[in-house]
Amino acid sequence: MHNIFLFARREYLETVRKKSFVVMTILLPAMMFGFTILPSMVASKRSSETQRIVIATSDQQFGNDVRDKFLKPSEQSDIPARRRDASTRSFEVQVDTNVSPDEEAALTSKVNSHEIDGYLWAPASALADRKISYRSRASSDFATIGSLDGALREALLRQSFRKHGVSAEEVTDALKPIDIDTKKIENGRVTDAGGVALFFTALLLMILLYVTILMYSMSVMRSVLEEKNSRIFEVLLSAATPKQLMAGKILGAAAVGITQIGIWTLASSLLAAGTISMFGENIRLQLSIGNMVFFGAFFVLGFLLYSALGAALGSAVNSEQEAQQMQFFIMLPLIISAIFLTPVIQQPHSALATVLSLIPFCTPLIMFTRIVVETPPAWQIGLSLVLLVGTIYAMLSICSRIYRVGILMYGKRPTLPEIVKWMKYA
Amino acid sequence: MHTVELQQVRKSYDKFVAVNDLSLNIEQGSIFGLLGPNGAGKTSTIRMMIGITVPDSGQVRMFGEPFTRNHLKRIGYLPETSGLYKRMKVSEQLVLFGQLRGLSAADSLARAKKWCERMEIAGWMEKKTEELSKGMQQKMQFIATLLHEPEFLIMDEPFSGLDPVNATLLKDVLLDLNKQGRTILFSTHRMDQVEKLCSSICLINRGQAVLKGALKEIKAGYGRSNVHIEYEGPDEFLRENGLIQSFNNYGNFVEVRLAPGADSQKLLQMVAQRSRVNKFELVEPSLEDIFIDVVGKSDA
Repeated sequence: MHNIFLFARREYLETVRKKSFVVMTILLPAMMFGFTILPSMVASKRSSETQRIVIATSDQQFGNDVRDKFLKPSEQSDIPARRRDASTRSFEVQVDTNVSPDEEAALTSKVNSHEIDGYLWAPASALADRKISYRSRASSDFATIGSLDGALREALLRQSFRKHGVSAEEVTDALKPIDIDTKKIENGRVTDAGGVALFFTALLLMILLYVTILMYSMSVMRSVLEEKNSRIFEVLLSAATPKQLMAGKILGAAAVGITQIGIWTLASSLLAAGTISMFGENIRLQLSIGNMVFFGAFFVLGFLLYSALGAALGSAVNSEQEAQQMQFFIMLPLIISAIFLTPVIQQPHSALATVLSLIPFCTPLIMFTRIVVETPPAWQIGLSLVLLVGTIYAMLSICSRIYRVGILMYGKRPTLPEIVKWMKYA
Repeated sequence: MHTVELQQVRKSYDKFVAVNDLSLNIEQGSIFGLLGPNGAGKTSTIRMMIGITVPDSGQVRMFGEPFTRNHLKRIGYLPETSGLYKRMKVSEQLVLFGQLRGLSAADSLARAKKWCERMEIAGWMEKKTEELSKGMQQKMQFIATLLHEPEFLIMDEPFSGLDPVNATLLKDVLLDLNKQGRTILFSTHRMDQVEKLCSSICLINRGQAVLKGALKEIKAGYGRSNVHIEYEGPDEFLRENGLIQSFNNYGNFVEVRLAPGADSQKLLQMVAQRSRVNKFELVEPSLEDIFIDVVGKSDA
């Protein structure tokens, strides 16, 4: 035990003191910040400029309906968050009842000369065909087009209701939107956790797990390789067993991972950045204390498992080039987990999700995702944990054996009696 | 008592037999030389002695008992190639090695300081290992081997990478330790380096012992059958001469091994007839000569 501790501490201190650790600790959150918050910040900044739009239609009432709905989409709505993007941007909308070809040409040249930003071409014939065109310099401004689409739909409905003699109030009442409030039932109690928020919580934590596990399992692999190539093992093995050495190395790496996650958790709770902004919507990450505990457990176990895998591969290879080819074997189960993440989130109880979450190499990511989305039966969680711990221990035995064989056998495969001998010996 | 006993120890890697039924005893308190050319099986033998590998057959006995890992605390092993963590500080690394051998951190540090002063690298203790020269790293590795005051020291090519001054420093320390009663095993292919140090040797070639025993007895068995000749002039006398079994010519100096039963005086006369002789000396064969002789016979 003493030796394991010594090796773990050495590994820990060496990694934490490296520049790459400091860089990673700062860079990864910065990158996440960059990918999520920054674009929406930039987007909202750009849209502070007023955009001028002209609605060209022969029906004045229809044009006004479109304009009102477009400018104040949420007036009658119970969900203020919807179309917030459009409402925070400022628009100036004019209704133009002249739909002659001359006016069309005039509007086009106005767009071209930046006098206006775009115009909606909706003459009576186009309305009848329901083929309306929006012409602007930025044809991929999806937010504006989306808002216009909604406004047009409603205005058309109102127009059609008006023709049938329905009053404006009755129309407004009929058009009242429905809010589907997603609630998650946890242990028989209805909680506040919502669908979208859960999805992003799972996704974010998954990325965190994926990146750190990948990074540190590679680092363990390199560290083993370095010991092999610099022949430190000869000195170490004259004082300790390969198993102690490997266990120390893997625990040291896990401690590094915990430190890193710890720093991030602390920093993010200090910044109170529980909210991330994505696709123009604010999503509060939802994670109960129980889920945090599971996250910690699966993080540590996943780390141990993949570190052991990294150590085993590091023992088996002889050069950095070979190691790079082997990295694929570390990445493969992680990539598989990532590919199946969406189906698992959508149907956390499917046979696919159950099987994947019980495969130890996928357990850390998939089982954790299932727990966040819809808590699986306790026996499944228990079984996955038992399998995971068992696999970690088996990996440790295997990799310490590969270590001994890999460094001393000059490429020779061990025979079964030899392995039995080593097992007795260690 | 024997510090080490190897009984019919065998180790093969795939089809290659690295150590072939080797038996040897190392007397307690002696300086023992495990000698042989590159690839003879020296390092493989040492690895089996300290349990890095397990012999395919045969037995290793250490301090009079069958080898167990518990013996490792009483053994110090200096491997052939330096094995140090490059990014660790010298002092930290020495403390780690001390702790791995069961010392406390404070004890390890105190001993490391003392040894670094003696080995003249005290000023480098707070540097990173990679900043040290190869020779300094070798001395640092040497210190790491000694911290736990082992009874039995295994030195695999200890002088490689050391200049004469440092080699002497290391040799003096080892002789001191031997005087304190510690057993030392030298493993090397540089036979001239350990010839003066060892009391007994085992010459191995292709995994087999070809010659072993007390050095004095081995040399006595060969007699004064070697001649050093310093000469000026032609060297035809070396060829087609029934008196000479083999020779090693260094230009104006030649080492000659006499044929069995040959008279050295006849050779002197022959040489003097054609060349100018500055020195003619009868000497004991060097270990290297003996080795070449023995290996030549065993290979034939």
